[in-house]
Amino acid sequence: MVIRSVIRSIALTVVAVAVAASPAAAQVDFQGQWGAVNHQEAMGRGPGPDLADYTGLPINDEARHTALSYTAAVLGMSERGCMFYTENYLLFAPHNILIERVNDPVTGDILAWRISAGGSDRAPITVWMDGRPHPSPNAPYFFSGFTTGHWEGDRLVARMTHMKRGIMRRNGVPLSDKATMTLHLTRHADILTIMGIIDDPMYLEEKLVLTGSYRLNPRGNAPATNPTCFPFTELPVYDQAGAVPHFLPGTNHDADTFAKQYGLTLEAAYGGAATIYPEFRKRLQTTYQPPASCTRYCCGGGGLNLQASGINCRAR
Amino acid sequence: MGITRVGLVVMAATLVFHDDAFAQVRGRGAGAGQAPQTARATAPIDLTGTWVAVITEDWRWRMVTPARGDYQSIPITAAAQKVGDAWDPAKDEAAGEQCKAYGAPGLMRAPTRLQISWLDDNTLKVESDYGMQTRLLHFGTWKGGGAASWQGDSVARWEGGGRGAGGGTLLVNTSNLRPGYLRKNGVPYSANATMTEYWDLITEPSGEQRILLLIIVTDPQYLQQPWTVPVHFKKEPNNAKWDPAPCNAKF
Repeated sequence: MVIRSVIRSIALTVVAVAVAASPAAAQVDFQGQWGAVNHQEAMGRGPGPDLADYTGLPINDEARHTALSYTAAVLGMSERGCMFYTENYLLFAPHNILIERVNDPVTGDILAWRISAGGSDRAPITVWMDGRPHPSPNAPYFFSGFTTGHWEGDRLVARMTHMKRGIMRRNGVPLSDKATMTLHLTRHADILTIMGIIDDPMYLEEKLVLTGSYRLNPRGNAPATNPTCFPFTELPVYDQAGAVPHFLPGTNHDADTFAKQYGLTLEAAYGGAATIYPEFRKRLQTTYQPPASCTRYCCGGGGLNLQASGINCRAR
Repeated sequence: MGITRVGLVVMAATLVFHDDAFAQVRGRGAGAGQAPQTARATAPIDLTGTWVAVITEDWRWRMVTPARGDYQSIPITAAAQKVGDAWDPAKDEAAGEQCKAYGAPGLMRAPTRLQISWLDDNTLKVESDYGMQTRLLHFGTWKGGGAASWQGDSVARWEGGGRGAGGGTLLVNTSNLRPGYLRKNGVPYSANATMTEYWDLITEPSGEQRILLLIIVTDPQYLQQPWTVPVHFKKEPNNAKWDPAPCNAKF
């Protein structure tokens, strides 16, 4: 009898140790309403980037030429009106988000985390945590992609495949359907940081890394679901056969507007892997001519009320 | 039949041993009679090596000096705008203040490489080639003080770790800063500014390593709310591209 009790006790001990030693089902709780902290790229995330501003993007020539052929008029087509809303939009959108935990109703285990669209036309991201495999490369691709997650310490790592063709920046820099994205969700106190690493063999010379931070906001109201982009005809002329708005090579009249506005060379304005590293500054030192003073979009970001703050500055 | 006394002893001993193992990984310190664990010995992540800032965000505000009066994205106060509007880099240089944009709050968003190494068992050294600055991150019971400086007094500790691969964060609090610029075009921070940093290490399946650094700058005089910005660095195989350059107030 005593021996049986000892064996049972040891067994209980082993179970207790195993529970304590193995990663918990949820090592960090990401649930809640998160307010976007737009303290970088406020213009790009809010009103939108300048035309032909590809700074900071390690894009290749193919992406650059595709971007220069882009005109926002293409969004008036019912066929292309939703092309902005692949899941990587999370990384350069200004919106708040809601993160929900999806539990298995029987076991209580975490089946998935769901990151809302934040009121945008993007679909919510479902991060499957139950070990299911990614679909075959030949399976259908969706705007919502397919995402699985795992824990690395206290960080949630989510890998997305099967995205549709989309954009990397809201001025038409393309993202191909060969792209994959890895999200790293890290929480420190009430700040959530999402770092995305995008790999696109079609349009990137090297991986694109983007980051954004969010502050826990108990009064937030980002919806769990909202209608994802619904295509419709904005201008009937664009839905006529053969009418795809675009610029032919060499005809984009805004190809150098941004560069001239900010005293940059076209090489700098057009991005590329070489331009995102410190040594590129040497190529700018003799050519860069900053504007005498800021004339547009000089303030803003972070939800400030400029007028109430006593700040007198061009916010547009 | 309940758990026997022998079983309880086995369970207690196992849990004590187990907790001690966690404690060592998490750097809680040594048991009675043992020498205190050093920060280097208890580091849950290895940040040493050469790292390069990858400027994929705010390129126009980080890679080059933006125009006077460009405060976009920074939650400035009216007092900060007044100082920023009067920015004069030539005057800064003449006053020997050409490093005002190279203090810790500005430096960590700069286009720089970092060399990170252990100065001693409880001090992590962070050097930049941009402006040739050195930050010392002090663990343990170190107390700062003395004159304010560009890099201020930084107190560090490890957080987390020990519960799986990739865990652990370096938390750094910096104060006693000499007033400087958050941005090269004279967006100011005051002597009362403090900076909190969370350093996380990310290892990709390819083996590539990146630092995800969350920076939170608080300044009651010049910021309406804490300026909260993540930045990232990529590890380099060596320091072949290390290119020290002194502070430059204009470019």
